[in-house]
Amino acid sequence: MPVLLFQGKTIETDEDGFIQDFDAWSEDLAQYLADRADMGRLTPDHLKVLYYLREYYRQHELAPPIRVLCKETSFTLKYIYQLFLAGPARGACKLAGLPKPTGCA
Amino acid sequence: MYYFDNAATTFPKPESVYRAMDQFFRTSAGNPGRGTHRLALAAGEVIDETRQLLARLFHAPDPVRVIFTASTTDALNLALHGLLKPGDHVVTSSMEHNAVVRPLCALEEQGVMVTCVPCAADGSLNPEEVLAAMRPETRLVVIIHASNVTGTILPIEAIGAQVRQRDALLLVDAAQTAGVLPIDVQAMNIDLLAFPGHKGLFGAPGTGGLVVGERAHLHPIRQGGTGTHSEQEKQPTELPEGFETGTLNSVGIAGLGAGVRFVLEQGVEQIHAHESAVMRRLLDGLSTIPGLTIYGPADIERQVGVVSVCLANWEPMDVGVALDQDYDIAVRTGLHCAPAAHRTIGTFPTGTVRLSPGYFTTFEDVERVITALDYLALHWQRGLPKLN
Repeated sequence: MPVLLFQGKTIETDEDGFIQDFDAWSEDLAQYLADRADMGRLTPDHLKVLYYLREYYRQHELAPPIRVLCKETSFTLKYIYQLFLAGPARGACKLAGLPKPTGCA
Repeated sequence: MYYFDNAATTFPKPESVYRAMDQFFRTSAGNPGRGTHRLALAAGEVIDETRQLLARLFHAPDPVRVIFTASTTDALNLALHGLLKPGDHVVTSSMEHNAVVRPLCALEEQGVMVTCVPCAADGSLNPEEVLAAMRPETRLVVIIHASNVTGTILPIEAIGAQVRQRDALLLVDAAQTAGVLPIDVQAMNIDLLAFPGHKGLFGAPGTGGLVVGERAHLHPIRQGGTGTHSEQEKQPTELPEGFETGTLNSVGIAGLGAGVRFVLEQGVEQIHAHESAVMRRLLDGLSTIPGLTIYGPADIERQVGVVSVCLANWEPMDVGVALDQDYDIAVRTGLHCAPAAHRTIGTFPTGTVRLSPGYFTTFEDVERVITALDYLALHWQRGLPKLN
């Protein structure tokens, strides 16, 4: 299984770089992943999306539908897409420490 | 908007459909079959006309054998729950939509036995394997006419003749083929045909139907007002009213009638020819995109206007968002409510990007989606300008 080394720890990922251990996540790790994707400094709006994704996943064990993400963050899809240019899955969910989203969006 | 989601619902609709619904709602929207005043009779006439048009389109033996439902899913539930009893055996395929998979799963818990015949990785089905799976107690074979994931056309005619010889019934899910491929329920030995109103027939969402052949003896699965036999408490079983409990979606059915009339005027063959021509160009273009995998037969002789793809370095969901946000292109991503089909073609659980052109798709639309996917494939890190 692929791994990434972060702050002296070994963190397992899937083949596409999605973190396998939900509890291994931290804001610092999100920033580290953002740096690797040339996203620059994460803003409060980035973090608002990431924390919402994590809270939803904690409750439901899956990523939220896009319309729910937009509604609960009060962000349009266009804005979320601007925040995470790789898209809601490879961009937002990966930085939030969620497994790769499956099924219907 | 460049619309490539016709497998979910067709868009736009013919102008005549919009006009028919508007006019019906303003001038004829009484409760059909529920009174003797002019508005009720006018609504009933539109319902009857639509029923006759559908019977003509599908070569049903009698218009009363066309039951209106809320959707294909609703029609499939009526067919499966209205027919099968504990101890019955059913044969189905691994390319089915959840509209078949989930009712069968529920029926299995009630004692119905189900055999699922595996399809090939391109979604194709060997009819001999269906026949080999049949048993003396097989009551029904239920097969999707064309996959909503890969577009693969399944061999209904070959299966139909054999099923009839063995005295079982054939139920066909025509969600992707009604209005797109010629369907003759009598010549094809189809005993039950479930179809949508809002896809290839260009009607409104909330409409669909079930054509019931003379060999199929269904029991109503819902009870209530039918506008007939109101003196008796027991549910009537006459076709079609006994199976159309509650007020029909008359506005939607008025639109469906206009849609079916449009299909009959254009001709199913012409509609299919256009969709095939567009698909041929789409498949040719997709095959040139680096890192793009096509799922399904990639052969217009063997599929309807539906194809699934995956793009290297992209999640399907992200492709859908990028196409929508950057290129104004509508596609469907994920599992398409058909996890069994995705297991069959090897794309479970993340799914695919599904492209489904329709009768109103132009070659310019196709060029747009090919160019957009080519951009995403080559410039996925967004280093270069986007398509305008």
